[in-house]
Amino acid sequence: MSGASNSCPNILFVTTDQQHIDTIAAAGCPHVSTPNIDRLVREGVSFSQSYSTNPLCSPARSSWFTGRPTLETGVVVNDRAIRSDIPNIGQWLGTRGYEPVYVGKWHVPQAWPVAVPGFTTIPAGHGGAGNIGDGAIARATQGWIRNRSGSAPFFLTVNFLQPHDICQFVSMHQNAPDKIPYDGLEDVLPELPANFGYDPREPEPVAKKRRWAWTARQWRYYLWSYYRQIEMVDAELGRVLEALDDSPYARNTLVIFTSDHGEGCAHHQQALKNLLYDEAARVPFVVWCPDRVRQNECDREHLVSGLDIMSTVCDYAGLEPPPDVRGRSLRPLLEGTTTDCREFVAAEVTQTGRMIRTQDYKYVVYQDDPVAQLFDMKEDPGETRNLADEAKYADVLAEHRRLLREWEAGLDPAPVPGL
Amino acid sequence: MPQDPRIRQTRTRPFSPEALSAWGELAGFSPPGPFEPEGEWRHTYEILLAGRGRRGYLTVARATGPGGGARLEVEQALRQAAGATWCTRATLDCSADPISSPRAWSLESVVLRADAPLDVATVREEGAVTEGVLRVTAQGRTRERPLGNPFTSDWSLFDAVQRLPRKDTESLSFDLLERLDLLKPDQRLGYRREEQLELDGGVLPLTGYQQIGRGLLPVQYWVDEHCRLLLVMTGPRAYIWAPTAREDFGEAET
Repeated sequence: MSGASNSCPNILFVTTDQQHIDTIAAAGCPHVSTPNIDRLVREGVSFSQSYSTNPLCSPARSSWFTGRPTLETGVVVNDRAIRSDIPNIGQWLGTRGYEPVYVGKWHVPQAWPVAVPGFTTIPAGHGGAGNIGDGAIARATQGWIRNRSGSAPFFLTVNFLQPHDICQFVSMHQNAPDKIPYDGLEDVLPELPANFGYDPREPEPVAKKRRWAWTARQWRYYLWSYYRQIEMVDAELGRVLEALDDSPYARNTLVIFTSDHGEGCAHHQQALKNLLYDEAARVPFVVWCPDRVRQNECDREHLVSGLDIMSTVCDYAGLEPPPDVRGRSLRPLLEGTTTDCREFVAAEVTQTGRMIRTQDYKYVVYQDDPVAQLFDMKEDPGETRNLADEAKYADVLAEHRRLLREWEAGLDPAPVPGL
Repeated sequence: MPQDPRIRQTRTRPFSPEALSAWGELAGFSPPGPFEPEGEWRHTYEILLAGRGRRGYLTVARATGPGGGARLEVEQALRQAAGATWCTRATLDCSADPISSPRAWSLESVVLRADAPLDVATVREEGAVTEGVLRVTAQGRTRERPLGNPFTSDWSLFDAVQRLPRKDTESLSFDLLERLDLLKPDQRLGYRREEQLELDGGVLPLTGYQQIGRGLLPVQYWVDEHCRLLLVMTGPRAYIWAPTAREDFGEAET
């Protein structure tokens, strides 16, 4: 496998920023209208057990584009560059017959650089303002798909900022009065999630992030506003998909859709991200290509990771992935040729937090923090009862600690400046 | 985040006329007197983003179009990252109905880098609504969508809200084609409240309307006593009436 040929599929990698996994109407969310993501879900394979490698913008993105955990990329916090000896997916594909094109947010390290290494870069998008930047991203992408003249297969990555504007909402409403500022909205606000309550046996970095003094009404207004921002980015996605439909590439393009991390969404009374609870760590992940990938398949069993993007893309491109990638190609799952499950996925957060998610349990620990978390994800998917101190689960805890030790020992950590 | 406290303060509470005034965003704000919404006019707005400052402008110019409705010339420029600017120009022929429903339009969307258009990212479209079907044509290809409800665009509403009958306004229901591009159904536009806005030069009486619907954060429209649309705000974005905004754009902070 030395280089891509013109028969290799085009790949359209579309991402949102800060999208909670339960924000897709076709997957059962009653609070949103998402006809375009729904279409990908109905005509493709979606994974409900999909985890960010590190639920923060720059770190998660560094893993998408390298197939390496953030301990290895060196991007353990925002605004850091990927370690220079690790190729990104544009550099890898671009020297092997693909045309890599980048539109939208990058953020490793700069959010909106003039040029993304390895890619032809279209400068569209606006920091901190998906409400104006995503339109430019969608329009520029429409234009590129319509106007393109190249014949090599393309790897086009389109990186929207919404629903990240929820950060602006949170900031603007942090001290707002307990009153819905629009008549007629109070009756349509979504209910609070079942796990609005939480087990207080939490590591300190988790508890410290809970700094919201909102009433239940304010939490519900925040949720209502968040769902509108999901609808905004869904509409932009629709314009990109329509341009693809109208193009000569429609039948030979693999679409991968995901998000860098989730959003608190009032689960455990949290907003925003940078947490290893599922609301922040689990993300939408959908793959669409009707001629190659199964349709209307929701995989609720297999654990997948942002690490898997690189390996999956390389597999469909007919290329070997770069050395030492840690992800897996999802192609066998997408095409239904295997049911093999990986034993666990790992994630990191805030430099010191680690997560091991196995089929049945999630283990979370922060370096130098005496409180660990262990949740039975089958019996308690809302993560409301921390089992780490219960003697009955001592063996489970020990096993997960072993998995984490062995996982970390197998990595090639980047020297991280400033720590 | 920007360190300028004047910019930073704009993300400390929701947008409202009073908040914009308190932050100094309406300093020197003095709309002229009488205004005829049905006539020919040109409004220019600065586009303010919470925590980001003034990032662009929108111009809407009205003339009488074919059939007695409005012909709107729209130009919007928004600063993007990496020194780029996203410009959209459109001409809309609208129906003479309460929501200025667009009947036909042409649009060009361009990304400018170093003031030169990036041709590969340019979009040109023609659109029309006939017999309840929306048709958009780009590069010889036409997409059709049936429309089940009254229909308008966000730019048309900059015209239409100036002709709403104040307190007696019954809610208007429609689907919205945002930017002549994104269909956002189930919108409702109705009266919000009166407000006496205190400015340096005195008190400015305002009438507010609000729009709520799918795929958008609520939109507030504020018109003066002459029905001139002065302020529009939605989530972290505000349009502030500013006749020189287009000329000032090149000198705005980046």
